[in-house]
Amino acid sequence: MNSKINKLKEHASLFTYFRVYLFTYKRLFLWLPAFLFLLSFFFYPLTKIFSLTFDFSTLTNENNLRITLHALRFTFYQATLSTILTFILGIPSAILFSRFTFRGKSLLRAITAVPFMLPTVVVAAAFNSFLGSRGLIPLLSSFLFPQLLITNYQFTGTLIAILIAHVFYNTTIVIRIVGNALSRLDPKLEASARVLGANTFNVWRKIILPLLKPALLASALLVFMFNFTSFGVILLLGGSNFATLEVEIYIRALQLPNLNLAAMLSVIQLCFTLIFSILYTRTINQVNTQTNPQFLQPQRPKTLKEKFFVFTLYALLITFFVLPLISLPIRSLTRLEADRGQRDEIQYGFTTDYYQELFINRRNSLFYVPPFQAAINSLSYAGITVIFSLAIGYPVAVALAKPTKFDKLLDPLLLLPLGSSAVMLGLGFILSFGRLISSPFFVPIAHTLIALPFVIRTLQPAIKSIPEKLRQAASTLGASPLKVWQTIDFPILSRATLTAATFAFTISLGEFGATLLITRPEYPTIPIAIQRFLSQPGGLNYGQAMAMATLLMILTTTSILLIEKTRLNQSGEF
Amino acid sequence: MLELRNISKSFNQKNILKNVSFKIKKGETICLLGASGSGKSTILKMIAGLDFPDGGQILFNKIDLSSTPPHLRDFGLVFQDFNLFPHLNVFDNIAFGLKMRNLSDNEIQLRVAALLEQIGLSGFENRKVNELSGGEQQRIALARALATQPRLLMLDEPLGALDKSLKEDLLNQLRNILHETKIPAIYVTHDAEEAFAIADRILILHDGIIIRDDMPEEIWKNPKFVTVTKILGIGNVIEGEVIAKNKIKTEFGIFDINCKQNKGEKVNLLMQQFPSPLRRGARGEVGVQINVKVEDIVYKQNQFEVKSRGVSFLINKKPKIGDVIKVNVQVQCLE
Repeated sequence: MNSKINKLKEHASLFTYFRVYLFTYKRLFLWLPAFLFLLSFFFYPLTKIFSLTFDFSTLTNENNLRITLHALRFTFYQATLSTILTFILGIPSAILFSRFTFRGKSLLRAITAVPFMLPTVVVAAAFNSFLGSRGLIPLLSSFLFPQLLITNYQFTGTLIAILIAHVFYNTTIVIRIVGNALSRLDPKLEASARVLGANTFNVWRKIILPLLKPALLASALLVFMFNFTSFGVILLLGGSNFATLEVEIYIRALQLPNLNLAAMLSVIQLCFTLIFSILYTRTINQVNTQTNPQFLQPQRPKTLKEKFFVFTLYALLITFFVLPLISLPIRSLTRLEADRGQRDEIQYGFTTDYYQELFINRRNSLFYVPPFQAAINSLSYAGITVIFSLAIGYPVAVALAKPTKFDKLLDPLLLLPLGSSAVMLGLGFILSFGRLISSPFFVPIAHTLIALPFVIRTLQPAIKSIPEKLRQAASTLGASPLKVWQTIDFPILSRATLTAATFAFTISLGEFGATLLITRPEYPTIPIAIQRFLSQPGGLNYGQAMAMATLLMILTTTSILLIEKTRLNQSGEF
Repeated sequence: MLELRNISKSFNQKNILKNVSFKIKKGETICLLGASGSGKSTILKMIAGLDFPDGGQILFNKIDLSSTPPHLRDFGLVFQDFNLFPHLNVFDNIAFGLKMRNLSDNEIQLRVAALLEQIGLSGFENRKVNELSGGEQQRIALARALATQPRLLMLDEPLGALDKSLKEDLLNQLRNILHETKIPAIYVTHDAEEAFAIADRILILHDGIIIRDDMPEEIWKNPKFVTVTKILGIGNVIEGEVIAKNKIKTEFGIFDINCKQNKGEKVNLLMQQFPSPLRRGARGEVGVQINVKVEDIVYKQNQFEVKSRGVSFLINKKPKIGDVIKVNVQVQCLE
């Protein structure tokens, strides 16, 4: 009898020992896949870039310096202008959403947030379809009013196109950060100021604006940072003569190869984005401490002035955010000009040709494969990205749900790929893996690097939200560990996993910068195909670009809706 | 000075104020007393011009205020949660209204210093407001409202966020300041003790109607309504039935009181403990001695609170549970 118990004890101690051992090293195991992955596909390429940069001849080459300075100057110039314009639309919109209620408010708010998640190629194609020289507005107006001969009309290839697209993208940031801060301002502060004798102007100048300062600063920094690193919009709407740092890296990596210069530009850009992110993190923390739990109740517009403000802005936002996105599918289904080489009479109006063309492998087409193959490539890359990022991200999210000091130390490493730009990741791949890059597997690897932080940030709060007490309660009620996982963990995690997977999928589908640098011509993705179609002459190519962009837009907006529906908590930050 | 005429207001199809009318005389402090959510704060907001009545008029010195924006009304307003401007220091908070009126720097300096002395916070000029205690913040808020020497001061539960001992201190200070400055004031609260301590006149707001408007002592002596006794927290309310003219039957015996209700109807009676011999009052209240069977005893302020059938009385000698004791009470009808 006694010996039996002793044996049992021995067993138990062995088991406990094993568990303790497992627990101590569990953390390491959780981090291992992510660590190895980042080491080989992020830090190793990064060292390659750095080693090229610190070549003395690169730094002192006069031509290199001239290009760098020019790119830097233009980057700052366009980012500043874009940020100012974004604020001109964003601040009134923030006031609109935080102070007023009106019909269709939540829908309008959602609409303003859509562009932020859309791939750059879609936004570029949408504005092209709306205002570009082959777009709906110019073609329709010359069709309807032929006497109004507008010569020299140009939209794409102008700075204005870039600026408009940047405003389109980033207004939602101002609406969310400034709007939230504004609605959290205690309305009694404003009331106190007014009763003390401050008119509306003074209330804003002396009370509201000073209190909004951190929110204004934080949103300005974030918008500026996004504009600073913008790539797809500038390349697709501006063309390569608008060389920002990012575009210049691309040019020097592929078109006019000068890898040393490309590396140096990347390092400069990385330094700036790091500075901006540090400043942003600091200011956004101040925003949080200054919030008031007492929310301001938005009200219906009452005075004539208020009604005018709400109505005008409503109309403006609808026009600005909806028309380009609607004109994309419309343009993809209408023929408004002759196809290239077409001599017979032109059939104007509705057509499905552009979609049908996607399935045909023309001998003179841009690809060796039918364009639809691009969609298949994109979908398979996206699928692989989902698997990779979940496999690597899940263990890290588990570790970060209950972080030890060790985890907190490693956490910022995960965000680094976000700080470096997509084009820079692509450049790193080119420098590190050279010919190996022809393997199609590198595209989903690059996409995984970009998606990983989003996947982890989605999974971690969900895992953390599962209360330990619930698990304990379930097990004391007689549930086996498997049953506990099935009844408690799984329902919560399945939603978060779905959201994370959709995030990874969407990011991969729309990724443009890194893919452009590393993909091979015979494996185009949807964004690459759109870019190539857009850069070719002829109505058919243009139409196919519209058709593909429409498909991509439908895919991504469906995904966004899915994410919004399954999201556990909505926070006001980015 | 200030006059409200038939003010009505509804929120979400619910009438929260129905034809509210009252006046404030020069130098008078009135107290709006009512349960939370009874629309007291809304009245203040409308007087300040921060909200608008659906119907009725607000006049000051016989001039309709409806077209005067808040910043030109020259009223002071103090909220429960202080609402000091967090980005300004103490000096700039108090000076805010003065700066809005474009006073000279010199004048502003003098006035702020005088106010700080008045509230006992001299030398606090450069302190940050979020470093101050609740009581200090509320005094700064009061000074800020008084700085512009407003035509009317409104206080919305000004002591609601403070603990009890601080409340009494500040209440005394506030009463002194109001007497000194002779600024007419509206003090909004749900706390009857505060109201009795500070008001020249008390207005009780219930269900959107002002059901009582009288001197504190009058309201105390003659609450008239069941709801008023509840808001004031006074006396014992018992139920009775009219069995004949001037005869009300209760659990404590039959009382000879003349109530408005008809024979057979239920009636609420206020039973207040009364130490002196029996008497009959001017409002038909009657003094009687009743027998009370002790059910529970609680020690309270050097006396013993005896509970029986939902009512309670204070007696000096400790009784035993089950004893029957005699208590002098004054009974009056309630509506």
